[in-house]
Amino acid sequence: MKIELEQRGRYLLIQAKGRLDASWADHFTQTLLLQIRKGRHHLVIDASEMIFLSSAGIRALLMVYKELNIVHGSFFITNPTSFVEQTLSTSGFQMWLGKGFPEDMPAAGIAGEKDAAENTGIQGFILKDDAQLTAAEPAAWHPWQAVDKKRVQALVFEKDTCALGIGSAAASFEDARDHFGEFLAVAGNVVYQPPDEQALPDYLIPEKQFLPRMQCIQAMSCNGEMGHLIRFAPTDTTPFYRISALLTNILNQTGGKSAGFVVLGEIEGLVGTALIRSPGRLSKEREIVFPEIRDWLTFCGERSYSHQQALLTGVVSKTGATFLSPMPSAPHIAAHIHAAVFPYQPLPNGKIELESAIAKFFNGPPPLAVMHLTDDDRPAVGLGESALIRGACWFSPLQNPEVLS
Amino acid sequence: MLKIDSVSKTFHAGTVNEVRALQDVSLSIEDGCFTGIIGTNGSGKSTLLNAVAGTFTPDAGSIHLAGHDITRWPEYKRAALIGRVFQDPFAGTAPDMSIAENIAIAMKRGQHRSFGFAVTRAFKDDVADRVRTLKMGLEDRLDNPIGTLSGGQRQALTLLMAVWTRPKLLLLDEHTAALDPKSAAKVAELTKIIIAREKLTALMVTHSMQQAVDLPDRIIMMHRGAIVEDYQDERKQRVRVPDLMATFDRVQKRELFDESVAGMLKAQYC
Ligand SMILES: Nc1ncnc2c1ncn2[C@@H]1O[C@H](COP(=O)(O)OP(=O)(O)OP(=O)(O)O)[C@@H](O)[C@H]1O
Ligand SMILES: [Mg+2]
Repeated sequence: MKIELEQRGRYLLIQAKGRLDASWADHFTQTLLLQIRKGRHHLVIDASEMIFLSSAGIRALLMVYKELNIVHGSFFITNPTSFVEQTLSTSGFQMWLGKGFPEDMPAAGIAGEKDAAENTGIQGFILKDDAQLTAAEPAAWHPWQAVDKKRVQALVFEKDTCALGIGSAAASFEDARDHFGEFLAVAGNVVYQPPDEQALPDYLIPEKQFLPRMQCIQAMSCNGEMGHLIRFAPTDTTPFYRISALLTNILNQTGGKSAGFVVLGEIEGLVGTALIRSPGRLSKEREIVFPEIRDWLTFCGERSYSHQQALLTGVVSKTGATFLSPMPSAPHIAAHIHAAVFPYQPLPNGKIELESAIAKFFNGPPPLAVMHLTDDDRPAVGLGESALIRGACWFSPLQNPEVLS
Repeated sequence: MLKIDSVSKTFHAGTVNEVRALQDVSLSIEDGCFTGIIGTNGSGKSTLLNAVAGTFTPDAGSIHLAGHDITRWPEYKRAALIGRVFQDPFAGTAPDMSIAENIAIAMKRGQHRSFGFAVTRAFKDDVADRVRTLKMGLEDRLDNPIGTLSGGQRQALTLLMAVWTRPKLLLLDEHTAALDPKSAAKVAELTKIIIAREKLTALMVTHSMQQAVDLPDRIIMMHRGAIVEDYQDERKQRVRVPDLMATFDRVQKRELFDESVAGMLKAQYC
């Protein structure tokens, strides 16, 4: 099978020539899914030279169709050979069949204007000009302080809150004690990494009357509306976006000194650490140094989770605070960021809504990891900072940064 | 019960080739427990088995088996308590001698070092009965040279010989690794059946994580001469191959976590 791609206005025209059967189905799917990943969400498949279509081929088409549904894209098959037309209509997929080309599709050889929503580079949207977030720091455990009942705050996460910290999904302090780990909360959903040897993140989803709650020893939260959205996608000169670049952009756009943010994006590489032993068992404050520190924290060791999807939330500020550490890559800013990793799912283009975008991930395949991001500036061997290829970033300035200790 | 207490072994100590093959390893195995050992190449799995079998005397630590302190026992004396199967199906047998003769020789081993052996009628009947349990049809070929058998058949026989006298401990060192996949599966199955039937205490080194999940009651993971994981009871019941991979990954990450990482995190983990 030969696959030729041509951008025509908002459409991607795909000439699929030859047999779409079991031996080509995977290649076909991967080729098209990659285009969807790149933001091409309106596909027209020219099947005038598709001579054969098997059930494996239909399955391939179905996978592309489903992916396009997730991103509110469109898909149809035009000029099918009679064999393909018969196969599709007799197997119940006649809705994919169309005649000719869309009216707004430019003629052959004319690339035309892309879909306005299909972005390259950085595209900004103002959602609510004067939106601000109210910051809070309800729990303030600092490594490696002793943990007793008084340190623990039971927090409930409402839909308009994003938060990050160290906590445990447990009903009581006694139960929480052995399970304190990194968590983040966005739009009422919580994902948290128990410091358990199985190392599978756990998650809590708001449903009906149920609101996720955590027993927290450390927490920062931002409450309110996200006033800004930026969409970022690779260009010839910017194949991916470093976290410090995104944060600098956030501070520039808000004109403020500090902001709270949420990012959903395809991962170029994440660099971070996470607890592997619960601080709940520290009965006395002490300094934990190498090599013992390796029993408490794990470090990624390489840029990880490439091409999966990250959900980040955090706080960035031009002035430091106890729980914000200066980024070696951008020393003028300090931040605290937690990341959850989900299996990749595409995002719709353009102006998307935070709550529903997040819900798709929490209702999809389970998260793979949660970590505290670091900017690894070690000379020669440093892994650098985390970076994302494309995605969406929602943010607002903090109206009360002074509460951050 | 096998009790390994703080055993260490360094090869080529004090030279550039120094290898700390076992570093303060402690491990207790209850009677009747079948334990699998997994780990990267050179992690000390075979060395641990050799320490128990008595191939060398450890630099430090002690080993007890069935109530005896065997730390200083020579290898041949331990052989009376320990059955052993290696990777190579052609090891430890005389290819030109018959199956029955090979078994007879093996039986004498570890008892006393007289070399006289006779294959009596009663012995042959006993052999036939036991070989029949392998369900390989070998009971009809007891007079054939052992060299005519396939690797899988030989390994099954070696296993049978190793457990003949119901040893206090059975040591298996990648005993299916040199076999083709089908024979390996057959020998693995026999291993499980025989160990369960004889209620043996066993230590099995394997490179197959699937085998480690499927066969033993407990899994030990070794890395750089130390035990880094120990799956027992409900943790063993829960564990699957991807979990073992994740554990390997974690062990590897720990290795990369050096003092410079600790310094970087000190500034950034708050
Ligand atoms: N007799 C010996 N003399 C010198 N070095 C040895 C000896 N036996 C083992 N070693 C070294 O000790 C280390 C552990 O070896 P060992 O054979 O126990 O590893 P292993 O876990 O069984 O590995 P593999 O999976 O490759 O069989 C290796 O570095 C090996 O080279
Ligand atoms: Mg070995």
